[in-house]
Amino acid sequence: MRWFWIDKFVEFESGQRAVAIKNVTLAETHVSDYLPGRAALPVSLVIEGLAQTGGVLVAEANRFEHRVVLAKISSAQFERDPVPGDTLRYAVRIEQLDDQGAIVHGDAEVNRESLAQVKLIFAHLSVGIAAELFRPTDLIQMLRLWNLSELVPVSTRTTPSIDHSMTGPFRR
Amino acid sequence: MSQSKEQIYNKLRVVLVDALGLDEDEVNPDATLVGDLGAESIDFLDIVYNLEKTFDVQIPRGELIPDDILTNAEFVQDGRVTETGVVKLKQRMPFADLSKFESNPIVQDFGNLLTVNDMCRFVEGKLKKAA
Repeated sequence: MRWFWIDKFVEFESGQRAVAIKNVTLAETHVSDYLPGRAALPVSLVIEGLAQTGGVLVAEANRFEHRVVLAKISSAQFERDPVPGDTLRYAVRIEQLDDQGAIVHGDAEVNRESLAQVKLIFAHLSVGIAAELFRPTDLIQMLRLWNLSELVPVSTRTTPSIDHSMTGPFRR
Repeated sequence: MSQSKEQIYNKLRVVLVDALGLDEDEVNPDATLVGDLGAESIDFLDIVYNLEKTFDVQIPRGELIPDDILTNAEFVQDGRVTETGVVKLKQRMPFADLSKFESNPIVQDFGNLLTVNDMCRFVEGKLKKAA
């Protein structure tokens, strides 16, 4: 099963920042069934969406050569629940990046109104720990589905020959 | 302008409160990061990043916790750091009090060694070098 919690990337500055969007719809059962009598996207899935946006940004910064996993949610603050009809804009930026991992700050907004702010820590898995997180062909397919190939030259930067690819939050 | 020990301690306390989700009064100079404050391994990445940002210093991997020594078969035998390994650790960690660890240098116990005071001395050393 794929675990997609963003619909597409709309902005991408390598090693700096990225923006992705997520449309919330009643057609998703986790939106209609999560809270009795009230439709809302679980806020944990907003964090997941921000983590996917940030995870790709961190992985791409190192040309997808490190296996990147979400290691810690340092902080997460929510103003309100996302509801059907909302288009969530996930804006993430790298605060710090080195060989061990990265700190990413993320903002979720709806119509320029803040919905959530998070601080996430990503770690690079050491060589020898765990298997690959993605098959390279799956990775490229996923990046294309997310419109990322329109924003960065994915085909030349990530080829099916890469051994170690990215981020944990995507596979369940 | 150099920072006093008190200024360093106060800033460090904010870093630890932020990274470990603590109340300010839980942090005291003798508290161990792992045993008393509940830090896990990934928290050290968070703490190091925050220290770099707060104090405007660079902290290369292995400088705060020399895991290259602790995972090196040359310095670790049967789960214990050898005498040579302890000497190496002391050279690399002048900011930490290793006397207790030295008496029974089990690698597994190393994680619970660092105190808030040690961290203060570590930052102090970094700032002196940077000055």
